[in-house]
Amino acid sequence: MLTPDLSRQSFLGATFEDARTTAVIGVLGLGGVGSHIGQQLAHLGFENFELIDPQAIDASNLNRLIGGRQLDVDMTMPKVLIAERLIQSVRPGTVVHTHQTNWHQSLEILRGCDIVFGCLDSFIQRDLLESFCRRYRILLIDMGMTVKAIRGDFRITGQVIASVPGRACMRCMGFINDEVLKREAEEYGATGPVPQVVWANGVLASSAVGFLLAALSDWNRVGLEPLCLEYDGNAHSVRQSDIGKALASHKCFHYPMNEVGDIDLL
Amino acid sequence: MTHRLRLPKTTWEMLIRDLRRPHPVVHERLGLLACKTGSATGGAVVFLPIDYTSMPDNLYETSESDLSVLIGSKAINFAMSYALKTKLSCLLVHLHDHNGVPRLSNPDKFHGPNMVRALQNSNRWVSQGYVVLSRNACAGLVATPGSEPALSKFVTSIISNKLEVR
Repeated sequence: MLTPDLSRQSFLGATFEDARTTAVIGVLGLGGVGSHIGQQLAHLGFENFELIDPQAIDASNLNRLIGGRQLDVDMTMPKVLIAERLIQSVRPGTVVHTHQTNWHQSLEILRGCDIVFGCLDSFIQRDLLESFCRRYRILLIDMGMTVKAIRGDFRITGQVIASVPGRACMRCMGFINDEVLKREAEEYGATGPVPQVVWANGVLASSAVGFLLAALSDWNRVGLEPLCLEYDGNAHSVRQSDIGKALASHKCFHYPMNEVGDIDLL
Repeated sequence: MTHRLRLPKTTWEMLIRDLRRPHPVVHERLGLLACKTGSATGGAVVFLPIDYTSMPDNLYETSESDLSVLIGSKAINFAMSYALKTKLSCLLVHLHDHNGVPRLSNPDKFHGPNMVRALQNSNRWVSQGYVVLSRNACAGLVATPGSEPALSKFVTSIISNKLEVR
């Protein structure tokens, strides 16, 4: 692979350079948000990807899937291959492994990832993924957006959460709790297509990549503070979440740091 | 083979601090890192340290023929007992006090495999290793269950409000 010219981002520092070439990035879900993530990380010069998504593109994805084309819809192209094509077109020679499966079927692959971007739709999946990432001390960056109809108006909201091993988790933040999971399970299959739009996904994905860069590079000495950002699509704003700020130094008790690794069956 | 070592920065700093302590006789101190593990693709292992112990001062031995860290029968016994007691993967660690990925010295290459075999004799059902740390990375010898110790690269993730991956 040719050494990419990254002179315009040299301020990111040597620590970032080590991570850029060494870290394996897992992206789970290569739809509206995940496709933005793959594109931005390719531009940043990350060299190792594991892309996981069971789905192929359909016509309803074209409003937001970055890199998707009508021809891909005609060919029912897997989303992971569209993302791989996009990454390779930016940086040929990048190591990209694609897995057209559910993430639960790719656990060995995920254990080898140093950072995972969770672009999943449901709370149940988020909960399971966070539990997995904590078990293997993997930095998880989760994103999600919702469009809700309220008395004839629509509200677009979203969040980006950095789940750092040892620190506040999504349960600590109250973003996931048993009530939310129960409600989602009861509504399963009854909600219809979930509204998604490209610009909101772009804001969330850019914020998530910003989170990653704050963690990996020297330019931002603060690092992952806070752990949660809130997006208000109506006000066009992204702000630090109050709960994320309040839990900045909180130690998670849902996932203790010694409850890690494979379950011992002996 | 590239394995992975993931630990909180506080643990990493504690390790470095401990291994830097001066000793009246030896230049390089030893410690034992007990790890839970995860299996990744291609037989790679993710090491997740949950406990650490220093090699006690009185267990180092001196030799006129070899100036490196000397591990005599008492030290080997201590390491094997620790592996047996914890029932976990154990990495015998020492420090090469510089930045960047360390290289194993000739004494490391000579003594390392025997140390790993000794740990395997204590517990052959888990991976065991002999690992050289630098200030911010590591490399070493690892034996997975049923295999001989082999030179291994490591990707190290040091976790705090920053993430250092090398």
